[in-house]
Formats: sequence, C-alpha cells, structure tokens
Amino acid sequence: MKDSLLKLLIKGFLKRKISLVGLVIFLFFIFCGIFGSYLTPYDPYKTKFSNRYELPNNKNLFGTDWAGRDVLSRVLVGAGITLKISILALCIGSVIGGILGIIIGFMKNSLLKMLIIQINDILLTFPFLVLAILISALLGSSLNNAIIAIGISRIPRYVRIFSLVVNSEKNKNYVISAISIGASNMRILFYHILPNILPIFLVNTVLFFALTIIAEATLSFIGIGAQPPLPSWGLMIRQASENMLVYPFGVIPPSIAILLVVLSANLMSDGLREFMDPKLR
Amino acid sequence: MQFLPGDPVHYLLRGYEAEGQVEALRKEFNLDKPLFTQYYIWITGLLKGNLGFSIFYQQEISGIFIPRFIATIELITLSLILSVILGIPLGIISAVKVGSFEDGLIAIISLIGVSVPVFVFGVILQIIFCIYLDILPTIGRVSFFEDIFDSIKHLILPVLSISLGLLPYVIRNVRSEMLEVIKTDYIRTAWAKGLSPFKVYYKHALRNSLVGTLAVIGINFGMLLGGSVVTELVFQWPGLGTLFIQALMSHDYQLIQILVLVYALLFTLVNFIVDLIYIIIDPRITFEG
Repeated sequence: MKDSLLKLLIKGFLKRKISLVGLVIFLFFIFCGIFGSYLTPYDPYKTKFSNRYELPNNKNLFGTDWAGRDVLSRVLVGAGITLKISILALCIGSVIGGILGIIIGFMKNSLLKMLIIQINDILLTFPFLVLAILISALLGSSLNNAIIAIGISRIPRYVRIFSLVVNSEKNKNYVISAISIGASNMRILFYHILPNILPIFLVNTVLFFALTIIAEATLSFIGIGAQPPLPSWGLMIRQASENMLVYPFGVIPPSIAILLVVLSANLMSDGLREFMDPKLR
Repeated sequence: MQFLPGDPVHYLLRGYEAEGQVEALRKEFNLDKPLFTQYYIWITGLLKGNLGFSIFYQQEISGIFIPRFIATIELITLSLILSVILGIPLGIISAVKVGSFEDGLIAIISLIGVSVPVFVFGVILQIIFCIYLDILPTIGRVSFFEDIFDSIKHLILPVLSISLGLLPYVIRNVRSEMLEVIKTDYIRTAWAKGLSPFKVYYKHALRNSLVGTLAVIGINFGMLLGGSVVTELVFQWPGLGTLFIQALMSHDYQLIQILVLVYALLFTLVNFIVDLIYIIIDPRITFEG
C-alpha cells in the first residue's frame, strides 16, 4: 500500500515538471537549513562598520548590511532558523490539530462533539495572522514563542478539515464493511481510514509549511518573533527597511529567500493535488 | 488574555512608581479582582455600549477607536474592491487564452503573489515609488475631507500592497471556474446567437463563475485582515492594526480584547455578506437549503 502511494506521488511529480522544480528548490532549502551554518563564508554575527552597506561584490556575494555583516552568511543561517521554525510549528499545528480532528471526526454524534465543533468554529472566526500575533505577544517576544503561537493558531483549521474528512470517510462503504467483519475501532482508524486521508494531510501540511514561513517572517517583522541579532529573514527585512533610504538593496536577498521557499512549497502542493485527484492521474 | 507577562500599570508609570501607587492604580482599573469578575465587568460594560478604558492612552476606547476603525475600513474596502476589479478581468483573460503567453505570465505573477508575505510588497513598493521615483508619500494618512488628492496619494501604496496579497486567489479561482463554464451548452448558445465576446464572457459566463470566487474571497478575507495589520505598520497607517500592535506592546488588555473582537466580527460579517450576495448572483441558492 505504502509503496504504491509513494510511486504515485513520484509519478505525479514527474508528470508536472514545475512541481519537480519546486521539489528541487525545497531540497536545496533543506540542505541549506541543515548545513547552512557550516557553509557561511563569514561569521554572520561579526560586525565590521568599515564596510557597511556594500553592494554585492566578489567578497560579499549578497553585499553587507547596516552593521557590515555579510548578508549571504546571514541568509544561510536564516535558512536554518526558518527550517527549525517550520518543522516545530508543523509538529504543533498539524500533528496536534490533525489528531484532534481525526478523533473528533471519528466520535459518534453526541452533544459533546457538537459542543467541541461549535467552540472550534468560534476559534476559526479569528483570522490566522491576528491570532498568531496575539498569542505570540501574550507569550512574550521570542522565536520559540512565535513558533508555539503559529502552531496553535493553525490548530482550529486542522481540526475543522480533519473532523469533516473523517466524518465523511466514516460513512463510506469500505468502513461499513470493515465494521461488519468485526474490525476494532483502532484497526478501522489506522488501517482503513488513515491511508485514505493521508494525501489530504500531505497537501494541507505542505500548504501550512508555506503559511508558517510567511507568518514567522511577519511576526519577526513586527518585532514579536525572532529578536536581533538572530538572522531571521523577516527580521532582516525589517532592519533593511529601516535603512532603506541609505541602502534599499538590503531588502532584496531575504525577500527572495522567502519567495523561493514559499514558492517551492506552493509548486509542490500543486503537484500533490494533481496526484490526489484520481481524474487527473 | 491576562496570561500576558507584565503589568500595564508598570508600563504606565514607566519606572517612576512610588510606594502604594501601583496598588492604587491596579485597584482603579479593577486589575486586582479575580479574572472572572474582570470578565464580568468587561462583558456587562460591552453590552451597555461601553467599550472600556484604555490604560495606555488614558481615555475611553470609543474615543480612540472610531477614527482608527474608519481608517482601517477605508483601507480594507478599497483593497478588496481593487483586487476584485483587477482579478476578474485577469482571470478571464487567462481562462480565455489558456496556454498562451498571457496565461503563463498571469500564472507566474499570481504564484509570486501567493509566495511573498504582504509586508514585502509594502516595503518594495515604498522603495520603488518613494525612494527611486519619489512620487508618492511614504507613510501616514490624510482624511478624504481635508485634501482629496493627498488622501488618494497616501492610499495608493497600502491599498496596492494589501490587494496584491488577495489578487492571486481571485485570479486562480476565476480562471478555473471560467474554464469549466466556457465549455457549457449555454455559452455555446450565446456564441451561436452571435453575441460579442465581451457579452459572452462578462455577462453570461462571469455570473456563473462568481459564486466560487465569492467563497474564496470570504475565506481569504481573514488573510487580508492579517495582512492589513502588517501593512498598516509598514505605512504607519493610523488604523486598527497599528493600534493593535501598540496595545500588545503596552499590555493594554481592554484595548486588545476589543480589537481582537472587532477583527473576529469583521471576518464573520464579511462572510455573512458573502452569503447574502450568493442569493443575488445565483437565484438557485436559498436559505432553506
């Protein structure tokens, strides 16, 4: 089962060249995220005020920022930070939200279930970014709190999606026949339903990955995410925008880094969606 | 809400606190009472139309709130209108000329649009229009009634950068809906009647593809609200977003509560209006469902 799913996935990716491009960019990002801090040509935190605001040249490929720090090194280390954030926030948001949603969807119809869904719907009325900004500020400005905030504010949507999906899956014939041959709830859930909703989970997770990066950059830009001197991409844009009268180029490298990573996730999710849709296979 | 580490009273006194002053102020703002009591006082006040008291600004919230609210509504409404006005024709063009150069270009632009945080648009627009071209003001807002041209000048960049965030979703949706609608029989009939392409696409086909697009706008309105918070910060727009961040930084509980409530209400309200518009554009939809 798993093998054929993987094969289909690869096939879907190969069919759409553009998703393959997304995958390549994504893998490159992960590589930079893991090994970025060993590849930096200069120390990303070392300030050198004698060469501030250097445009890209042979020594500093992406130029230097307001404190004379090498921007290429900072972008590379920033990739590591972004990778860490996205993995942790995904763990909080999609794993907790997904599990909660599956459990709620699998529950029998009762007053309790209705109550949980109602509360969840109330939480859904708060816009994602507003909720993330709020929770992050409540917890105090730091990178870890921003991660928790982004993860938590994504939970309601996951609960919503998965409770609906599992609910509709539950009444399908294959589950009913599994019940009729006496399969236990656990077996139905893990062996029958879970493989069927895995593609939906994947697409949502990839999309959430894109949203996480945007949200983290936004929080850091506002000043309630990563704190200086951490080279988070959002924070780098913030600092560059403060100095844009002198050195407007500084905004470009971190913006392009964000653009590429989020773009790769969007391209991949397009490919995944194609693979999910049996009509297009 | 009150899990916030830190105390608004400390922000108010800014280190110049005298003995007993902290306690007196806490008492004045009911901060010494249990949480449930505070919540009860807040919610009963709200029902009476009393929005509460901002500790940071030292005045009634209703006084600060209304001009800020108008500024944000102005920004959001115009961005929404702009992204719809731009998104529908662009979506139709890429659906009609599917696979063409225009279609590819629009697809690339909308992919980039989804992949960049809204504030990046803001900053880049500022750099292009305010520093290099030097034709538009960088920050701030001027009221319509003071100077209409100046007001529009201040509006262009923030509105543009917010609507760029929503635009890709509108384009993508109009495109995919149009692709399906164009194949239907009634469109073929419209062609057979000899109608002009404009009439076929914009009058006959568009109406049927609008339902899904409206739903997309409703869902993504939350994103637009979130984007407006940051964009307001970039352009120093005196709206709810800058107020929200200011309130969060100064731990102004009552103000934060009101603002979060307003954001949720706006989101709900827009989705409600979207539901109402469904009935106008598609007579098959009724509330009885």
